[in-house]
Amino acid sequence: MRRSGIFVVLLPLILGVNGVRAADISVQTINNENYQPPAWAPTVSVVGSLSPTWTNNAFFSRDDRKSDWFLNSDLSVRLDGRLAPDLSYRFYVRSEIDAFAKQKDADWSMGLWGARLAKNIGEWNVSAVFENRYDYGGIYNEHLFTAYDIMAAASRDFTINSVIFSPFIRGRYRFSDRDFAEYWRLDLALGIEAPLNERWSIVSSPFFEAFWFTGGVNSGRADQIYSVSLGLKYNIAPNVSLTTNVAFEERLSNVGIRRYQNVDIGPHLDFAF
Amino acid sequence: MKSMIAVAIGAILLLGTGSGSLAQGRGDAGDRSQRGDSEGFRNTIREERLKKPTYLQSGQQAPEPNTDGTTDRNKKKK
Repeated sequence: MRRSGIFVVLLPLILGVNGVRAADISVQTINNENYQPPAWAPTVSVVGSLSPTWTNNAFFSRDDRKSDWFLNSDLSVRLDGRLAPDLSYRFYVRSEIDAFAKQKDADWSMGLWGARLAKNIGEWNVSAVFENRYDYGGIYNEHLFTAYDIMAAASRDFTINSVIFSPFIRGRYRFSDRDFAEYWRLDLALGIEAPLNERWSIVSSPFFEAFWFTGGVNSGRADQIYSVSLGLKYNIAPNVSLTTNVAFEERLSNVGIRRYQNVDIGPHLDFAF
Repeated sequence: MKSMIAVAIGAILLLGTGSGSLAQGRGDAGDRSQRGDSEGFRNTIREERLKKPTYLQSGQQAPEPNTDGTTDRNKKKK
């Protein structure tokens, strides 16, 4: 009787201790599961695009149009972080290649590194960017020029009846080791995405670019590029999508030979990890 | 003397032709990056959309905005 009485007294204590231990483990587990890195900790991501594309004008020529297939590969590695809740920075490297099936003289590639500071002002994301870029003819074969771009950009998203509109404006000046590549430039773009259901959407990316060249043989030259595109996008996952796209592009110029029209058709596999 | 003058004129013409073709080549070199520029611009516009979830998995509920700094599991415990 005495033993059973002691057991009855001790039982709640034993259970209580175990309960406290279980609670400790549970809190620890929750803490582990809900762990988020500090806001200041930078994150690394790999973002890219891969696209086999057909073009009706491999050399962007006014008079000598040659159609061909080419593979466009565009890969970036980014380091993103925050200096303040609404002030973010990004360091990145980017590589892009156009490899043609037949017109090998149209092969092109570039590599760059850049830094960006971005801040939210109202509904707009405003950024200042510096890029150091190396352009090559062929696949990193013939060095064409080295450029130093200083840019300012602003973008935001609107949603109207589930259609997402993403206006984008950017201005830049390009310094270069070759004077012909130096210019002022203005980019205006409007990303449009109209979801059809959970995975499919119609997308379009019209843009306008204006160039005012300032140096060398291109001094005084002014170009304007008008581009429209229409595509069907399939979201394979939130960070992977496949878009079939048709893009038309026309360049006007006060130098007649620099005018061209071009059509590109092809699928794009975009990913971000 | 005449041959020297002819050689000099020839050299000047050659240099002139060379610099002309170089200048033309440089103009083309600038143009060769245009396709990559346009492609890169379109790629950037598409990539910017990637990390923004514009759709939900079938049957998935839209997450509630977490405005009070607590976790979902902590909310349930409350």
